[in-house]
Amino acid sequence: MPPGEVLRKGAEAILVKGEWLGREALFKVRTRKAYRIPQIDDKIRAERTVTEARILASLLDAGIPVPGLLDVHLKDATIVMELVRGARLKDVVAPLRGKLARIFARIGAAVARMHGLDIIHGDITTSNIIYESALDSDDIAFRFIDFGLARHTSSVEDKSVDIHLFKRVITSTHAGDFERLFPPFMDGYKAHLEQHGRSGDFKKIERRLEQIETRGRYVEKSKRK
Amino acid sequence: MTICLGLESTAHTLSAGVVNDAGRILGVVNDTYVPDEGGLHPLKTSNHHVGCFQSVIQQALDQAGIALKAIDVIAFSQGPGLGPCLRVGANVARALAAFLSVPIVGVNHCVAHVEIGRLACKVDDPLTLYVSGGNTIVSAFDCGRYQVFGETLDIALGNLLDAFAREAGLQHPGGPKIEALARESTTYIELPYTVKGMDLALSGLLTSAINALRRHPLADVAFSLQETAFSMVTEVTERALAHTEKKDVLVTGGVAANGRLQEMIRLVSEDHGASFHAVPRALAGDNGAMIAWTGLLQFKHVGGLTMENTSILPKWRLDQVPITWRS
Repeated sequence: MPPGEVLRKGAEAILVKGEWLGREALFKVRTRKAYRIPQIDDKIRAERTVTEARILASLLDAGIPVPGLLDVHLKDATIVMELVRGARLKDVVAPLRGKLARIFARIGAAVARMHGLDIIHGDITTSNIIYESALDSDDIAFRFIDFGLARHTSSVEDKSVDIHLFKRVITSTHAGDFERLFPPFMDGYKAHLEQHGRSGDFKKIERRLEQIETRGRYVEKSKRK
Repeated sequence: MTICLGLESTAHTLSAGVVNDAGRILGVVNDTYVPDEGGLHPLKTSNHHVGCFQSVIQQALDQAGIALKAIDVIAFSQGPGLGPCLRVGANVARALAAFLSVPIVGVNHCVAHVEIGRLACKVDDPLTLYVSGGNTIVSAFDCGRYQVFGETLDIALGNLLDAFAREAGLQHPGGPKIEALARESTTYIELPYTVKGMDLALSGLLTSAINALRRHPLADVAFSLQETAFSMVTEVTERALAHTEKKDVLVTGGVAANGRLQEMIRLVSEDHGASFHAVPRALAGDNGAMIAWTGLLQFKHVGGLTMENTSILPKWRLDQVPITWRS
């Protein structure tokens, strides 16, 4: 464990505010899971560390808002990255109510760009987006974090599931604000693809999303094709 | 004092439970169908239920020390489950309600698993891991519903264990035998580990484990299967726990009886400062008491159903049910 202040204990990693070459940095340490036998645990932690670092690098290259990648220590399953300052979006949805539509449209556009690189986040949640701007400011800046389940994929299915999971999180965590969050997100996603002359791709994703929802094991017959 | 008779018949178990509104379980009797070979055939299973419902209900009443006419409310599991099996419970419930002239309540089977856990473990607002032959769901209460934070994208955890046990030639019930075999081994065979966000997929793991049987000792495969599947389920539970920050974790459903799974969930719970609770073995699997208790909660808050609304709902999701008795 690197020396420093433990900022957060997430599901799979501990975030430590430490020092890297004399500057403040965030150490994401995939700690050992006591519940998993080492044969599974070591493999999963190493695999996810490598994948996450590679994907962060690709996204940074493309200018998608993610933390800067500084260093990787494979042996301790640790990624050193830029310290992003802000609040978990999950915690500021209420005070941001007036501009949620704009924010979620921007998030939608950013996810569309990410998907355009054939990368899916794998766990888009409002806990995994850090809102950086001041709450009362007109600026909108945010960063995606936690690419632990992200991967390269070109499949419409995987991209649609990425969106579907986000929809599920909004439904379960922000049920009362669903209309303010998800439709603008989809509008932003769609607008980005249309601007890049890829509205056909959007239609494919839209269709697949509907399919995924009716595929659920317990969807009422009326909604099933 | 209101007394409810609950009938459970979603899958292989026909069960009757008698519960009062103080939350006391006065009687609960199960009769479980065990096929000679293969999995559950819905029609054969429902025939079993038809054959035993009378004696199961009578035994439950005897256990409670009451007569049939002392029942104030009839509750039945309306879904989700196998159509032919659900229909047996629904028909018996309708007939009894009409005969006794008492209200009838349709209960969601998954909600009932959560509610009996809350009652039996005296825990108010847990993150619930519900693992059985037909369901693998991580859920927590939010905005008036038991929201689903993670679930299987294909087969259920209990289904994985049962199907593997059958392929390995183990007698029903397979879960305890796999658990015992797994304790004899520490040799891990690599198997696919598939977590997608907060959801998981188990069918690829089942295929790989069955294939591994050809090359490895059964105990090693059983150990590897349990470790892989339970690690996935535990990881999904941990993700939901980190997200919801609940202070209690409840494990319910038939697979909740597995000691290794309990150990893993206990470890992540403690890691996140949450208390661990496992539903007592007698109430962890499908049972009529959970239907009776949930039926009572529902009856007290929204009353009974009209007959035309008692149709079975085989695809009824946990998160479709308004939880009116909680705020």
